[in-house]
Amino acid sequence: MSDSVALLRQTLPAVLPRLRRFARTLTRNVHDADDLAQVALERALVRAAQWRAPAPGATQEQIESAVRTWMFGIVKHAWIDNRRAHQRERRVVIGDDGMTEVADGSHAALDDGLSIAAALEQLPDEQRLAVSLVLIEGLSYQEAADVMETPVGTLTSRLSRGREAMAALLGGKGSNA
Amino acid sequence: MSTESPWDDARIHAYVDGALDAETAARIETDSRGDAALAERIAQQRELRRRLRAEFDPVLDEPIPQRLRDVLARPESRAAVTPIGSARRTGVQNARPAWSLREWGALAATLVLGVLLGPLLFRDPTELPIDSEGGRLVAADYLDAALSMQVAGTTSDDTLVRIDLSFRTAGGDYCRTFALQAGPAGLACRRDGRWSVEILDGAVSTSDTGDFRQASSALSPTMLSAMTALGAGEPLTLDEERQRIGAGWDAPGP
Repeated sequence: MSDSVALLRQTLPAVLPRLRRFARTLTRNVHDADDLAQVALERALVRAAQWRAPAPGATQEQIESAVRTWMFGIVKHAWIDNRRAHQRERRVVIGDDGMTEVADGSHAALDDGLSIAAALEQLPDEQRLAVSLVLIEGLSYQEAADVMETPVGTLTSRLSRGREAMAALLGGKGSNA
Repeated sequence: MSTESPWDDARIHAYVDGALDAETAARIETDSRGDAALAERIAQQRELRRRLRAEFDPVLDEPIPQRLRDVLARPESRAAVTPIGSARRTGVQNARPAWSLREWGALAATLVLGVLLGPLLFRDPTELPIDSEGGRLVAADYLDAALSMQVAGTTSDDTLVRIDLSFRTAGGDYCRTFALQAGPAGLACRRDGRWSVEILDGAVSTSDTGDFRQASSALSPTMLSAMTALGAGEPLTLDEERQRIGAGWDAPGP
């Protein structure tokens, strides 16, 4: 086992809680979110040799941050793969009759404003990722852009649109607690 | 929202996100003390962050599910990177099934065509990407995605599933044979909108020297007899596979 693989395996347990929280922001169902975390962990171990450890002398926090950012990227890919598979399935099953779009049943009444979790779920994937990574996970713009494999400007633009959409969905500019 | 304010949304967001330089941050703080509208816009963004954290932070205090711990507890030699067959060679003495044999056996009995049970016990069957649904076994997460989206023979460094061939049965169902990097090989057929796992073969014989990604599957006797029983037609060509992947496996075939 190379040193960096050993360091990765040694650090993963410490980032598990954050990994689960990130997965939960993408998939509200607890079981599905842990499935997502598990798939990401399996994939991470398969490609552990690809992880680039920080330079020697890095603090524990720097090491954890590096592992976390890398893992978030794997979670993102696994989530998108899974959604593509399921979205395609929905289109095929119902789309053939000429119906244009399949409602996923989650457009809850807006009268009272949605719960914060339901509002997050309404966002387009890219905005949801941006909101989750920056506002919940507290990543810097650069770190979040790295996870999303986009320039920082794209990240901030998605984040901004995500914020506006959240405020509209929550019905009170996000200020009604 | 005031259009006269020198502070646009982007900078308010950056301020709340801690992404402004110290000097600009100090200026917006000073301005907000004399500008109620600005203060309110900042407060709204802080409130959004607070509510999101309040909703999701409790996840951090939940106990880590055992199945996630188990993934990390696997020694490197038994991690998912293990080529097919080698886990079997390292021995069944490491077996630590989280499901009882009876439980797994009952599920296995739902397989239409059969299963070779013993060799599967080297690992926890609940770790396989397979769910039980309505009395049958169906492909889940990454296996489900691979069966629907992956062209036979394509692999990469992080491939978890190798699809070997696709065919139609005498009854018109599409079926695909697969091998999991995590262990067994199998055969799944598209029925009722899911990939129904018909065969799960823990004794699949990939070459003992074989790398998972390169091993071209000599079909096991179990698999061959299953295909015969299903009335398998000619394997789909890659073009036919791509057409299915595009149109969906539930759409009527040509």
